[in-house]
Amino acid sequence: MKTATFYQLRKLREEYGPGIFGKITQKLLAMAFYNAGFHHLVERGVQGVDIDVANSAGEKYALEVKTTDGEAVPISKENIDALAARTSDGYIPMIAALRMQMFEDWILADVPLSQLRPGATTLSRLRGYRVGRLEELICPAFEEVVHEHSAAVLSGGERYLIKTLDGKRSGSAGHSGAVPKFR
Amino acid sequence: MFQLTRLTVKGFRGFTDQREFTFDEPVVMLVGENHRGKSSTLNAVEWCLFGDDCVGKKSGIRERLDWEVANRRAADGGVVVEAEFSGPDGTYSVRRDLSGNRRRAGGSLTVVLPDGTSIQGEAADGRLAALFRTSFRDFITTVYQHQETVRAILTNEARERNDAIDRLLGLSEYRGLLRGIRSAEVEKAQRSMEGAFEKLRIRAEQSIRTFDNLIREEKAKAIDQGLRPEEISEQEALRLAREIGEAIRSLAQDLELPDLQVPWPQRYEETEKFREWAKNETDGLWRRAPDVARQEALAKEQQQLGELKGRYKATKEREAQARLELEAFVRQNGHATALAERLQEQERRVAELDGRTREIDKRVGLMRDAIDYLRTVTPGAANRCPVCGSQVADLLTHLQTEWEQALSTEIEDLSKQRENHVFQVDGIKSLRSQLEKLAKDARDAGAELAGWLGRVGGALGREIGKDDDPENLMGARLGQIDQELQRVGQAIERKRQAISGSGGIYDQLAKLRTIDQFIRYEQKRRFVERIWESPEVAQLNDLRDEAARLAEDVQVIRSALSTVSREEAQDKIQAAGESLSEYFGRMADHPAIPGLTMEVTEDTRSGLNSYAFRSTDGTDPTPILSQGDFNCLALSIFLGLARAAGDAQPFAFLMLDDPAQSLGPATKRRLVAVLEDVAAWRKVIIATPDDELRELLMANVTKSKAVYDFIDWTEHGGPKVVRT
Repeated sequence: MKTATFYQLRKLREEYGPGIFGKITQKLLAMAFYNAGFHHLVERGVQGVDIDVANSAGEKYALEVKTTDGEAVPISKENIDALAARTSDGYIPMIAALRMQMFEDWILADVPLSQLRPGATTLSRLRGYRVGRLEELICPAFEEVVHEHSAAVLSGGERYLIKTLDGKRSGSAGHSGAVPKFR
Repeated sequence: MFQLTRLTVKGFRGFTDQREFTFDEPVVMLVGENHRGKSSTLNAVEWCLFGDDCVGKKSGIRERLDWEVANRRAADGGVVVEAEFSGPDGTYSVRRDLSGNRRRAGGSLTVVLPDGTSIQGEAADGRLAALFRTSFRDFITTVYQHQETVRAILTNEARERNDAIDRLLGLSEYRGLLRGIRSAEVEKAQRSMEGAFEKLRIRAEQSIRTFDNLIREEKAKAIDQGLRPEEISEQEALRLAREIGEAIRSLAQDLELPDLQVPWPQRYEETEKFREWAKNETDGLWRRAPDVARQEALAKEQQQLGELKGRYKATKEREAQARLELEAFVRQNGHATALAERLQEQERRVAELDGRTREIDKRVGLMRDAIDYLRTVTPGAANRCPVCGSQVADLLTHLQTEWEQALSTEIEDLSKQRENHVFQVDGIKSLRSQLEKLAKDARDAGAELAGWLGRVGGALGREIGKDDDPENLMGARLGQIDQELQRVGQAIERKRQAISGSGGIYDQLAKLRTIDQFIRYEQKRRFVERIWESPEVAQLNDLRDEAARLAEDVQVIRSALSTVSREEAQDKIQAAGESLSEYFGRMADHPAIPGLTMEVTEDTRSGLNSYAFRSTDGTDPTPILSQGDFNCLALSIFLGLARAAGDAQPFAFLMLDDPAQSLGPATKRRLVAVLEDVAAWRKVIIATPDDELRELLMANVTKSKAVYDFIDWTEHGGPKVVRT
């Protein structure tokens, strides 16, 4: 992640605190997936897995989104159960973890659910399950989304992102061909 | 099933010469003191069947790490073990040879089939495996109860006991693998690698933060200097450099130094060199400018003349003072001639007094002689003057009185007068000296003043006449210099504005420097960022991923091994469960432990099997188990597993090595009772140093028995064995 992106995210966290920042990051990540071609997008604020995404090529991912300052992210039994529940619909369960430190990037890890245990999971462990191809797609898209929207998020907060996500989802419903990016 | 019927041993472990054993009875005892070759006999069967697998580290038996297969004293150094097994279709002979130069290796294998066919090498190995379908692990679990296993299980240390039970259950390899994985410290290495990478990241982050601060400071400085944010750029730096060039050229013309070549920068990268040139050239131009040179010369003259004036004045004052002091002295003490005259008079007076004193001295001499004379003459002659011969009455008395009164008074008076005049002489001499010094001082001060007058003349460039006032002359010149300096200073100040005034060359150079610094810090910052985006860092990240995958794979393997080991242990314990409990109950006959169950769990820290025993009443018996009880436990596990193996086990015999260790007499009797049962379903070969056990077996086992007495052992002859 570029330092500029990191600074923008840090500003958001300073503005809204770690709790809301986690939700904001989740929505920004959802928008990055959308911009990267995953036009089927379900982003959940409260219950269930954080994000479902799917693209026209049939790739389907269910993501638990985690941000941390440290070396590990907490995975709860509910997280594991929620991911497991999505596998029945063909979604590949995935942990999306972002360490909020300079030069860090998203780790998108398809850890087999059988290998996940409730508790703190180290990022170094998640590294063993990184999906490099997906990260190469999503990380730049995420930076672009942060760059485009951080100022608006600073003034409009999470509500701005909810509105933007809702607007784009409805705008792209039934859309075929090129889908507009979150701009 | 296969029954061991015969064994020939030569050169193996405790054996030197060839010995033969026949196992033709349901119970065969190998009896003798320690170190007589009993265990070597049982080991020979094992080595014959499994070769290398039962030797060294591969065996999973700690005591065998330094095991030597070949006896060092064997006549030809070779090892031969041949075992004969009777099977369902006839007799099989298995022979393993080891030549002298391969003392610890598995040697060569020969299998002779019932039809007489002899197979060797790999084919023999394959045939043996197909025939007996038994690994070394299975063999030590269900056929051969090792002495070492019993010893290990007797330990009070849980880790050692778990280790021993794993061995007893044939799970040592899993344990070894799990230990190997743990000791490889893959996770630790990964953590260390991650730690090193994190340090690198933190250093890079610190660099970025430092540069960000410097960039912010330079930006603030630029804005203070009047630059707009958009002007902090390479283009603006170039434009500013050209402006500075123009300003320097204009200044040179203004300073009447028109021949100036400006090295115009064409690219941003050239601005730093240009900035250096501009600074040096501006300073140089300034130094070479005529006005500045004039100002410097005037300032120098002003300073020198000021100093000269001060010194002249001080000298003049000193000369006047010396003169005044001289005049005052003369007024008070007279001039030199008067002092000379006074001195002369006083000296004359002293001389005069000296003359009178000399005259008196002559009279005194005469009188002293006369008195001395008169004192020596006869009384009649005492009144006659020795000089003139006249008669004077009481002459001696008269002379003595005169001497004592008149002459001494006169001499004293003369002496006082003289002393006074000498004092006067000394005083006048001192005054003369003072006068001479004052006169000299006055002369010197005058000469010095004359010298300064010469210098003043030199400084002013003219003769200083008698009627001139040098101080005023110098004051006038200083006034002129001051005026001229003011005029030149004003002219210079006007030009200086072009250099150091607001918006002047120095100002512009400072702006250019700020822009340069800003751009340089940004470049350095970008450099750090680029390092992070470099292929080398990407490669490092790939390595981190690989390390993470390796650590994860190792963790999965470790977990799988742990699970398999635990499940196998559970299966075996379950299979042996009833027999285990029964044998333990019968052998130990412990009043507090009616029966025994065994559980296995995973030690979460090490992933190794951890065994626990429960009494059938649910209590933990371990704290009350004696060594004998543990021995019973080890035998129960072994016999339980052997019995559970049933007909699936290809060997129809059991080998027990020193099964009665740590057992008391009653327990031995109970052991024999169990062995009586065991002998019903297996041939039993027992090695023991225990005569009591031998007697009990002989007396209580109903099956027929054979006994090999190991009556002696010598280094060169090996065991001496007698069958009884």
